[in-house]
Amino acid sequence: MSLVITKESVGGRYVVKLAGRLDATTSAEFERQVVETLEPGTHLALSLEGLEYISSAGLRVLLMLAKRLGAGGGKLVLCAVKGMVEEVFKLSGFDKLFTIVEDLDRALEELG
Amino acid sequence: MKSLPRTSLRFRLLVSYILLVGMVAGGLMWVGEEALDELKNQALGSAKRAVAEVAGANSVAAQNLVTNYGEQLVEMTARDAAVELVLLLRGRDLNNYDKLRADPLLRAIATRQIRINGRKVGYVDVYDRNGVAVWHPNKAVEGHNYREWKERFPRMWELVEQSFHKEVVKGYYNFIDAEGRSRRKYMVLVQVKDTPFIVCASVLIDEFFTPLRQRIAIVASQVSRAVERWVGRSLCGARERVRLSVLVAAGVGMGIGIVVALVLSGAIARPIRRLEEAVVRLGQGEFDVRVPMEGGRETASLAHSFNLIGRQLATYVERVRQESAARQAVESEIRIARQIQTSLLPKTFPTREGFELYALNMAAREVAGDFYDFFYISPQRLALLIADVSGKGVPAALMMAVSRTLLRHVCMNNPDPAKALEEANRLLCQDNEQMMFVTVALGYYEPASGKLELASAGHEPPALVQRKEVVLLEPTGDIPLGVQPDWSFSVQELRLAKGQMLVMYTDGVTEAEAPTGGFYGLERMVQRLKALGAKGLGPTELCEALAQEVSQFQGGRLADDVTVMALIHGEEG
Repeated sequence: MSLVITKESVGGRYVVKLAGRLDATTSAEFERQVVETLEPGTHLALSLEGLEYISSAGLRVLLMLAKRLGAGGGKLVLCAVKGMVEEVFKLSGFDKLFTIVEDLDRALEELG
Repeated sequence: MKSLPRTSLRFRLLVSYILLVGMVAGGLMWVGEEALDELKNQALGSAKRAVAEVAGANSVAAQNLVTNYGEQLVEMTARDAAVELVLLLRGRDLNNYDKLRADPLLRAIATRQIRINGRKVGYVDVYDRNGVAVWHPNKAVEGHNYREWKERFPRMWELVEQSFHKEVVKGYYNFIDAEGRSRRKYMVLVQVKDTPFIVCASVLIDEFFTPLRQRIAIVASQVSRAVERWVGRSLCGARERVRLSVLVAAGVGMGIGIVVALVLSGAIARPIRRLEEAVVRLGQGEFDVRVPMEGGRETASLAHSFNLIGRQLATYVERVRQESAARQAVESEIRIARQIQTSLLPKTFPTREGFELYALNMAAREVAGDFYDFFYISPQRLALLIADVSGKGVPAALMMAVSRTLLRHVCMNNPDPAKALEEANRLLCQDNEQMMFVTVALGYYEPASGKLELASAGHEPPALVQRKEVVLLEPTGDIPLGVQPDWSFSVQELRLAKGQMLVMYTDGVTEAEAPTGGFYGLERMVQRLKALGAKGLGPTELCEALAQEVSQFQGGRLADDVTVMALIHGEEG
């Protein structure tokens, strides 16, 4: 199974939903379609609800995304981090590196 | 392999053309001969007809001439005989026919023959005014009256009757001879003066004209033969000339034909030869070879297809080349990364009394970036660490090399593992555009006391195994190295009991995925460690057994490196 990336705009704010796997193979796809297309300074809500697996390569591209958006004063809010993905975030300490909220509504609230 | 035909297309075309020209020349020659023969026959025919006509005309002209002459000759003969008989019969008894007939002289005169060129054509006979034959060359006739033949030859009797009263009578009549043939006869009847006798001179016209006709026929045939010879000769010449002309024409035609055929066959064969050369060159790898679209529609179409093939082949080969280059690049990258990784992993384990240490790394096909390390930072303390670099391939391997060197360095300088990680983190965060990070579990172990200080940078929590008791250490919640420079790391301090084992591992174990789906997971690992611990396995056996099981779980295909390190306290090495 590969990665499905859905890009939406809700009330003028960007929303990206990930489903499937974010690993060494698909992280390049994520980098091309998400990281490189968003301008620094963009506020983005990233829903990991459909994400079943994330590897260290996947964590890396999330870090790259946060760094790029943050460079222009943008914000990245993750939401719906569940299951194995949540475990990985906790074990690796990545939950400390990102703003993570319950669901998309909260994420949009967070973005203001 | 079937051998190639020995003759070229061009040669075949040429031969075909020459054969064609030869056939046309042969045909012309034959037609010429036929025409000449026809001409000869016609010429000969008309010549013969002309000769025949001339001969016929001559014959008629000669006949007219001869007729006049013959009529005079017959008349003269009759008159001469009449005059002679007048003289000889004077004073004779004209009534005694027997006596008269007995006189040989009289008979000779009265029955003389009429000859031309020694050939007998007629005769003379004498009859009286009653019509009775007195002298006749055929004695059987003598004494008969000509009146007897009145019915048979009415014209003759008519002339005979006239001669009774007229001095001279001449005329033609049709006589039928002994063989029943109707023959024309001319006769002149002259009275013998002072006698009752009449002289008759008669000729058979055909007998009379025969020599003349024969002569004319001979001459005509001679002329005819001469004409034939002449026509033959002149036609023979004409035939030679015609043959020569046809030969010359055929020769010239063939010469022109050969030139035309050479040019033409060249024009046909050239594009094919070019194609052939191009195919050979294509086969030798010249994919940019193109042939001009010339010649007939078929060859042009072939050339077009060939050019297409060339382009497609070039594209295809280029793609294969690129793919092969890419594959080689990937493979050489894998090889380089593997070499780096292998060179970094210590293979010799410490064999001091008081503990036993073992570690192993099962590398995935694409090097993932796991590594382990152990080294003394002081005579009493052993640093041991297990780490996982984000990403794969050469970048991960290089990051691995950097991290390992860096960690060795900072551990030497820092008696506190948390401080060591903090320093390493600060250094790794510098210029980390690619956001590569390293998770590390670092422990300082004192073999003498069993004291263990653990710090973790986002790494999977180590497990403690004592027989079937397995404890998973609490995650410290610290983040990986290379992400946030000012992070403060925490330390877990614990004391290993005798026979207690520290097991460290990477996500290659817990995130191993079965081909049918589902992760190996922490829970399963804990259960396995319990089972293995219950068997009382040492570090080496435990590491091997766990790695083996994870590999089997994935169906033998490792998606990620599997690295396990185990330290047992209080056992002799």
